[in-house]
Amino acid sequence: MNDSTANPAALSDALNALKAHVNNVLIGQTQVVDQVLVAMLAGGHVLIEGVPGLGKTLLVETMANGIGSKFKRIQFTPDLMPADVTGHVMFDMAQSKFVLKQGPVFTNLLLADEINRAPAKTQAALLEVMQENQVTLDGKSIKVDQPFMVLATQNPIEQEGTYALPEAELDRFIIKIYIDYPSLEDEVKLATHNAAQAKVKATQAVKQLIDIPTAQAQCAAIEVDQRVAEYAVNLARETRNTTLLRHGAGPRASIGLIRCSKALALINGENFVTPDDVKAMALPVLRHRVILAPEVEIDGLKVDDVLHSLLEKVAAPRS
Amino acid sequence: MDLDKLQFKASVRSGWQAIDLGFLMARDWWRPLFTMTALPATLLLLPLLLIFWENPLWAAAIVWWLKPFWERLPLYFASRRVFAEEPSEWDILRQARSVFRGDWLPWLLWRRLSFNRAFDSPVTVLEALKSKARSQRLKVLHGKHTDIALANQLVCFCCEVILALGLLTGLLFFIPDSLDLEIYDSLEKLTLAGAWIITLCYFFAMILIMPFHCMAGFALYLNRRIELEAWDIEITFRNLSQRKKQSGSSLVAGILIPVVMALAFVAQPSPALAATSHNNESAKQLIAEVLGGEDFGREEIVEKWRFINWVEQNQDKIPEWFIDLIEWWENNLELDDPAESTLTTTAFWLKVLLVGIFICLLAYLFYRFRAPLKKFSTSQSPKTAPEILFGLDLRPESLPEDVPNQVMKLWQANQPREALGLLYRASLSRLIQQHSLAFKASHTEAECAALVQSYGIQSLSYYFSQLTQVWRRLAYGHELPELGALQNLCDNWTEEMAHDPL
Repeated sequence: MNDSTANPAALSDALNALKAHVNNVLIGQTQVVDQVLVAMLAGGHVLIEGVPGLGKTLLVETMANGIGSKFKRIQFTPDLMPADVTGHVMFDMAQSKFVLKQGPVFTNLLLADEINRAPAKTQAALLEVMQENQVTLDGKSIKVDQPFMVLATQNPIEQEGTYALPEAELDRFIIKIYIDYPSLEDEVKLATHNAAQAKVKATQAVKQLIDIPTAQAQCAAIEVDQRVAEYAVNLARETRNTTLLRHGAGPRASIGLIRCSKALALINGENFVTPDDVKAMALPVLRHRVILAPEVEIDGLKVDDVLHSLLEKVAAPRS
Repeated sequence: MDLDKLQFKASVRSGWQAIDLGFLMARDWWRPLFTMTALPATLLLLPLLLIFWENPLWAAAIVWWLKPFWERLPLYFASRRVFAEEPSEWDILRQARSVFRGDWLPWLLWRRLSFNRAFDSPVTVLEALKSKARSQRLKVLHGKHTDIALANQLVCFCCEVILALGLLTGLLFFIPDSLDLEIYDSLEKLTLAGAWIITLCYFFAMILIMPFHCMAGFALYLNRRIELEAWDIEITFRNLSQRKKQSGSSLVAGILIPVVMALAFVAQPSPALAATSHNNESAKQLIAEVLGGEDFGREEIVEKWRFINWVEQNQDKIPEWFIDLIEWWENNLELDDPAESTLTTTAFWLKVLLVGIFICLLAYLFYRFRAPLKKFSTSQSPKTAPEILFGLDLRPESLPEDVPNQVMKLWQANQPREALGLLYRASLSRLIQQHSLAFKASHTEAECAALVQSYGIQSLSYYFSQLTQVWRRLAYGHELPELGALQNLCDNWTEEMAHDPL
């Protein structure tokens, strides 16, 4: 572990080193890496939407490697059962007693690949661990290791045979990230880089670059001015006062927005949150918590378009 | 027909109110009316569809042509229901044979496209009048409400078409792409599937609208009868008589009221009777007596101006200007090719006329819409600078004469927040007033700095970003700036804010 994360400047350096490490492996997705890091520092979970083959698994694996944590991946399928996620209790004939078999959820970084392929029952198996950081098996609550983070992915193209995530579960994700194709320049770099070696060495051992629990504690201590907090809440509330949205964001969005803004401020090497941090995190935090009005959807508008227009309506503070 | 059992208040309504009443009846008795419309029509449509399998539009056309018949059962039902009878659908359907029978040929030929169909149908279906008696009866009924009956017909037709198109469109939206179902083929010809869909959509629209059309016509008919036969007066007298009988307070009144009622009905015979008894000598005598009375014998002299022999003087007279025009044309004809020359001249003057009309029209439009045009032109002018933005007073007069000096005074008075706030506010004010930068209330500090950067004055952009950074640290991080940094910002303020606008 790098123990230099005690002061903000050192922590910022460590975070930059981690970003550089991930960006070296996952080329052309700097914004995604930044946002995953924000969610990690804010102690939240991430929903990633993007077509297959953009390196989502590689991202999580590399991130886990950089923070010295365990990583597991679950491929969600229609026949996946809740016990396949959380684990179960089974009778061991040799020992003549029930033994607990922990599921893949007992890890630090969990990649829930194509989460919307599994039915609601299995999706709901993640609710408890995402909210409480614990799993209840055989009547016993077992805490998962810290840091714990779920990175769930969704495929936006293939919608047949999928089960849309319920609002309650969507609300558990602190941010939703769109992962898109890299730019031409980055894709050329990516293709050249990968052609030179048989397999991307994401899992090669590196020195632990940062201690996430310490960074999370430091993130929580970032100062938020009253006016900035009001601004964050106003942004979330604005989604409830418009006819463009059928369902606006709840109070959990305001909390998530402030937490993410703190994380962004920390990444930027600041020890206070500005309205810019709040505005920068508004879209990732709000976009999966709101539902477009049917007429707006028919008009072909996207959630981000509506949120952009709402951001323009809320006055920024000058404390 | 027992008027005491009439299910609505008998009063003389306007035609539109009568239509409202008809629609209300259609809504209240929707299920039986719909059943009695849809059932016979469907029973005919199904075999017709089997016969015209390859061209179902023929089946739809035949069912449409037989519309006067589909309206008979609902009409018969309503005529009983309006007098508090409660026949079931089956009771009415059992009477179908007698209701459908009679006078069917005229209704399918020359009366088929009558605009008063719903208004006239009760005379055939309920009164069973034919030929001369029918036409005399209609002459009385048509004294009023024919325009409303026409409107009823047109509106219901439009509703039918709109509903059919709506159903068709809705259905097409719900057909999956994978079915590859097209209304028209590549040659713009109606496909068989298209014909079936159109047939079914139209049929549904027809049977949905028909009860409303039929009841509206029936209500118009009832309204006319109330007016002609004074149903409202009769019911009032009956009620009075009933009340007096019950109270027994006045024997005289009890005797007199039936007598008055009887006289009233003699003086106001039923139109059904009236229609058939126009030649009755006694009726003629009675009418002559009434008309000879004081109420009808008054004479009145009305005076007004009119031209004397105007028609005779102006008849068949060709206007002078027209003769002049023809003469001018004749004089200007070119003899070598008279036809072409005339055409060219006419075309030229037509062109002049059209251009003239166009110019007049433009002038009129400019005059007519001068107010919105003025508003539009003024909206294009540069926006006035906001006086208050971000909750800050940005008016130049709200700022001190010497901003840097005032900032330093505030700093020395241990008011660092006020000092830096003033410097930031003054900078924003200058940027808006002098450089017309379009800040919005939703802009954050960094967005404002980016806007200044995009403005293009490098030193100003650098200065403002430095100021923004110091301001943000104080405002949100509660970190006091170094005195040197503030002094530096104050020293450069006057110079940076003095840049000429680009």
